[in-house]
Amino acid sequence: MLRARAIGTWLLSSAATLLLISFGSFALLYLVGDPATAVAGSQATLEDIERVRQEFGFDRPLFEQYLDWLGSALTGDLGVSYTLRRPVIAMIGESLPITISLSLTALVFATVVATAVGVVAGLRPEGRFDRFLTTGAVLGIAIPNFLLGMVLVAIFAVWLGWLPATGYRPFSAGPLEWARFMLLPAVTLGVGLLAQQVRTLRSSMIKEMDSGYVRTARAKHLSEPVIVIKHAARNALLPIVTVIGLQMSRVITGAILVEQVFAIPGIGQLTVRAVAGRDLPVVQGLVVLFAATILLANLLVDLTYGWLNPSTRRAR
Amino acid sequence: MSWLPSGLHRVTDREAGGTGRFRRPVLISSASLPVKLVLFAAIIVGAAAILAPWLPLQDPLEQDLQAILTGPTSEHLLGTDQLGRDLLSRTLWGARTTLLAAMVAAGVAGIIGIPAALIAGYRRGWIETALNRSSDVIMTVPALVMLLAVQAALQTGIYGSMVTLGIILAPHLYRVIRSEVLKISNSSFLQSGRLSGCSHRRIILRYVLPNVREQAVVQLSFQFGFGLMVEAGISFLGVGVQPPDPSLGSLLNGTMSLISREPMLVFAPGGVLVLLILAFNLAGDLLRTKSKAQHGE
Amino acid sequence: MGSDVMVVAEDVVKRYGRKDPLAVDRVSLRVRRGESLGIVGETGSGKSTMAKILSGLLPHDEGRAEFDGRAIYRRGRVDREIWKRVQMIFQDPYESLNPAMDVGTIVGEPLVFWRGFSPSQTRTRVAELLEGVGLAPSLAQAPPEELSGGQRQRVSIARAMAAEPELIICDEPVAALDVSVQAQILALMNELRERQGVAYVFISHDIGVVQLMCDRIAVMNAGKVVEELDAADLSVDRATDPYTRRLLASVPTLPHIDHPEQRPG
Repeated sequence: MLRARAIGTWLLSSAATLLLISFGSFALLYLVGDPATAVAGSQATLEDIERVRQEFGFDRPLFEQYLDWLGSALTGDLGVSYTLRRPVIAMIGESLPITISLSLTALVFATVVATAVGVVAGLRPEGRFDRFLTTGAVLGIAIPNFLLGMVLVAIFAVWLGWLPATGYRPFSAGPLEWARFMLLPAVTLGVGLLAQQVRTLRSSMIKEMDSGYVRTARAKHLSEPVIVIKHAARNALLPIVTVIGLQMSRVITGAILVEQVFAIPGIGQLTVRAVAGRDLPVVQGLVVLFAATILLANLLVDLTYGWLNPSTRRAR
Repeated sequence: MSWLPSGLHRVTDREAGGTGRFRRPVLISSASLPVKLVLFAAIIVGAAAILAPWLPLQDPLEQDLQAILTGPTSEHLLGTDQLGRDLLSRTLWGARTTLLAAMVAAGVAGIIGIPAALIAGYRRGWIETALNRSSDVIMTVPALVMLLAVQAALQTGIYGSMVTLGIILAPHLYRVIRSEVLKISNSSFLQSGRLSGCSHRRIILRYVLPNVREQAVVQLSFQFGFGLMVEAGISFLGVGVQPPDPSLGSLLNGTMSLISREPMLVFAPGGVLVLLILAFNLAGDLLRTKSKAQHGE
Repeated sequence: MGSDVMVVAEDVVKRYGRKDPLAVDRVSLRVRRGESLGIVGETGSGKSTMAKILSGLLPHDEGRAEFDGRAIYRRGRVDREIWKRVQMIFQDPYESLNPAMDVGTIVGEPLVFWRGFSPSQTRTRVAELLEGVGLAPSLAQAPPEELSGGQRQRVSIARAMAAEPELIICDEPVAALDVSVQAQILALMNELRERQGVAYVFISHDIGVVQLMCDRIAVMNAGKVVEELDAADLSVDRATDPYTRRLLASVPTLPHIDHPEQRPG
């Protein structure tokens, strides 16, 4: 009951937010950025631009153009790319799975590693391992991932020659082949996420190990591994859910840069090309797509949190 | 009253109630040695970068095709790039551009975010609702995406982009500062000020603003670090600072294929970039710990 | 009596949330010129809310609240003029002084804004006020963080006195202080009352303190005034209301034993 209501409010507020964002970005792109010049290209004469303006209907009121866009968007039609003359939705459809596989691999890598090392570090705060890890996390947050990607390529591809430097192979080309190409980009994207997660986990682990129920468990002479795994770590993992949700924005930003470094034909590369080529319908579609992703991530965080945390589930 | 000798309170005031002076940890001395070293190095490099126009550096744009990718020599301390330009000079000039760009971004974020937070947190009402809602909307789009969209529409230079970045970052600052302002608005010292006859203007400027200043500096420090990262990011993507002009991001653009021949091309600008970001993040952390310690949290 | 009455509260109602119980439930009070009215009650009895309403910091929802014949609020906004004549002292001296101002500015503000003092007049008067509350005039340059709890509360008193008000509302002014300091601050407040003829509304959870300070006492419980009596009548035998009797019975003897950790609402 409550969950259904929460999803209902989420749908309403998300729809409102998406409408605002899509209108805002449409106004920015089609009102401020003159679309006729973008379509006509840099060689165009003034007459060309004027012709394009009338042909594409850019001389109509902005709101009318937006309603047109919105009407088509609701039926799944995001317009046609200026440069490639292909439907935007098809272009997004081709590159999206690649970015999703990159992002998910990076997130899984980050979360698995963060959980392991974060729990261990939190057991002995200020210990040698903890200090090493805390320093590493500070560094991990400070290194821009495109720079890290370049360094990793230099070491593992150019110097050691273990892995391919750039490129992408689909999963259908064989899991091993896919993994060889995916490893460096996923690690590159994952390190920043990992660093943030470790920080959160470590401090929540320290808090849990100091809490009343852990002391009770110790008094009952439960074995230390049982206390750590069954009690403390489970609770300490809760804040990670929130952190992962908040990291969606970082994942998207990171993917754009990492795909550029590793020449991966995903959403990020599509974004950079569309921006450089002033392909406004593509940019518009991508902005809405990214915003929708973030909103969805927010919902998932709320739901997972409620599901994981019994104290919010049980009405007290 | 006769139960207490009149005038006693006049002389003695050694109540146990107060701790007297608050401890004031000196910011730098509370940092560990590695942190001090990072901050120190960043200050040196940052100063050299800002002062680049007045330092005896070679022209960062002057090409010398006879001396490309030389590696460190006595003439070029960090070597030269693929067009024979002096790498030391390009790195410092690049760092200068990146620092100034981040300063613009953090400055704009502060100019928008802080007053908005003061007004929303103090006056409340519809204006707060409107500001909350719009900051939520802006924060739904990742900063880099928003920046790229603006770039697609406007094709501005790097400083235009950084003004945009400032606008995008303002909601983050707004959120943190507004919650501080809310706390202060409920405090009894602010109510004392109203009873003393202060105008709303004076309350905001003398009661609220000084007491959110620390938190604002902490946030601005983080945002400065983020600004450095974003400038480097968009210039790396080729939509920020345009070649041949150097910035820490544009210097890294296109060096991937040269990394095995001349690693310095990546490590010099990359190292400076990481050092500067690290310094601003650490400074923010230090300031935050300090203000928490002072407020006994 | 007539013009002798300064504060009139009649059937004052305040609710915070729509579903919450009334914080103040049809409270009627009167304060006469120069009088000291105590309001006692436990945490959550509505006494602090009443203090805020009477001092113009919190508009009430229903009823009448007047100072010297003028409504304290008009259409939900305070009539700021009353602050020339009504001031307030807050409970926690660590929260009631602006950390970003020196003591002199804090004490001087009412002089400048309510009484139009020039800078030099303000300086002189601030020094007098600080001396009047037992502080060295040189403290004017000090930031509040250098002061002890008792010193801070003296500054609060000096600030409240600066406007030369006819009424000071004191919301648990000593509850956050050390026992030894409490006595000094209470003595100071009594002395000021005798010297300046100012009236007090004195809010406390501590019936002993109220008995020392006040002529008349209103007992509040769950948002209502359950009993009003003269300080002299404040004893288990004279009180009629069962709640008052319970409250009195829980105070063993005077002078009172103190509970510094107790925080009233």
